[in-house]
Amino acid sequence: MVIKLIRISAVWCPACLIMRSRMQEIEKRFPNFEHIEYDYDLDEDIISKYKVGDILPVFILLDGDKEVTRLVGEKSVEEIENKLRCFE
Amino acid sequence: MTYLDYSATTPVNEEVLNTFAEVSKNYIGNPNSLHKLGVEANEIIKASTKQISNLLNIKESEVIYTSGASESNNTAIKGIALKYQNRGKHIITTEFEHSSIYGPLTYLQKQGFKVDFVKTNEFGMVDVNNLKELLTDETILVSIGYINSEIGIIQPIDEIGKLLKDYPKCYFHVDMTQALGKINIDLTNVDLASFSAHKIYGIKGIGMLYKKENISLEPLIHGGKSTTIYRSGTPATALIASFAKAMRLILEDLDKKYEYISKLNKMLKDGLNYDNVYINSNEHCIPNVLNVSVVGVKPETMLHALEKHDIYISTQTACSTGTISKSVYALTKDENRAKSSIRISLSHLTKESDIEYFLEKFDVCYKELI
Repeated sequence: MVIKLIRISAVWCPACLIMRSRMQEIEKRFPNFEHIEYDYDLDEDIISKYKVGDILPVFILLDGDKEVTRLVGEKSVEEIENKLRCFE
Repeated sequence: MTYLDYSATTPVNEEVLNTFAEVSKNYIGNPNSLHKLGVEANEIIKASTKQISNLLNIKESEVIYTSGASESNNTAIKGIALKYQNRGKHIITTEFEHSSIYGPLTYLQKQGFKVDFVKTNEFGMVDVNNLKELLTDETILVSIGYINSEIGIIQPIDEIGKLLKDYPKCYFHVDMTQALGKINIDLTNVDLASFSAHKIYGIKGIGMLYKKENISLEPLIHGGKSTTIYRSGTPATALIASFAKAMRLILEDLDKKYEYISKLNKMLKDGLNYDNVYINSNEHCIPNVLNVSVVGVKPETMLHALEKHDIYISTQTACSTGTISKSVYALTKDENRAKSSIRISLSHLTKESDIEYFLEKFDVCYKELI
C-alpha cells in the first residue's frame, strides 16, 4: 500500500509559504511517499472529510485510506522527518 | 448605525461621488480615441494624474492605474519577478502582509522563486539587521506593507528603503493601502507602492501602483498601451478623476485628523479594561486600528452580538476568513488570542459618542458571552 502525504495549504497563509520550501526537502527525503497538495479554498469538497482545524498548513499521512498521523502549522524539517520516519 | 470598520472600507465622500457622476455624464469618450470626445476625456485623466503626482511628490509617468490594491500588489510582485528573474529568484517579505501579497508570492514560489520571511521584533516591526542578513545577490524584491491591516503596525519603511539603496539589483515594494490618508507618506526610498481609493473615501474599483520611472515590469494584462504600457484596458476616466479628488480631500488636515483619532483610540483602549480582553495593537501602531482579543469568545460571535446593536467591526481582515488571525498569531504566538481577535477601526468621521455607544454595548455583549 502506498503511503500518501497530504498537504493542505492556502495562498493567503504565510506559514504555508514557509512550509512549501521545507516540504521540497521532505519530498526528496521520502521519495517512496506519494505527495499531494490541496488548496484550502479551491479543494474544499475534497478536504472536508479531513476536518481541517483553525491552523494551516495541515499534513496528513495516510496508509491507504487510514490516517496514521497528522502535523499542523509551521514545523522544522527535522520535526516532520522524525514524525514520518517510522512510517517509511 | 455605528460603523467602526474603516480599515475594511470607507463610505464614499459625497464630493468624490459628485465628481464621479459629473465626469461620467459629461466625458463619455474613450480617452484613447482620437476625436474631440476622446481628447476631452484624456485631458481629465491627465489633470487627475497631475494632481495625484503632485500630492505624492512623484512624476506623472510613475502612476499606473489599476482596479485596486490587490491588482497593484500582484502587478508589482509578479511584474518585477517575471521581468528580472534572470537577475535572481529571491524575494523577501514579512508575516504581516495582506493576502494579495501572499497570493502572488505563492504563485511565484511554485514557479521556482525562493521566498524568505524577515524576522520581526516584539512589536511586529521588521528587524532591519535580519533583513540585511537575508539579502543576497539573488534578491530581486523586498515587499513590505507600510501598515498592517489587522493590527495597525507601522513598519520602518524609510530605514528599510535606505538600506536597500546599497542593493541596486533589489527593488522595494511597499503596500501603502492602509497608510494613505492616515500618516504622511514619503516615496523617496521606495521603488513601487500600492494604493486603493476605497480606503480613502473613494469609490471601489480603482487603485494605483506607483513605479519609479527607470524600473520595468511584466504586465499582468497584455493588450497594448493605455494610460501606460504596464496596464491595458480602457482608462476609467470618472474613477480616476474621483480617485484624485478622494486623495486631495483625505490629505487635507492630515495631522489634525491623526490627533483626533489618537484621542478616540485612547478613549476606546481605556474603556476596554476587562479580564479577558487583551489589546494586540501596540504603541508602534496607527491610532486608526485597535485590535483586541476577547479570549473565550469567537470573533464572529462578538461581531454578530455587536451587530444586533447596529455596531459594525471586523474579524481578521475582510479578505481572509476561515482560520485564526495570522497577524495576531505572528505577533503574540498565542493561539487563544489569535482565535478571538476583533478589529475596531476608526476614522476622522467617528464621533466620541460612537465610542461611548460602542463601549456601552460591548459591556452588554461581554457580560452575555463570557
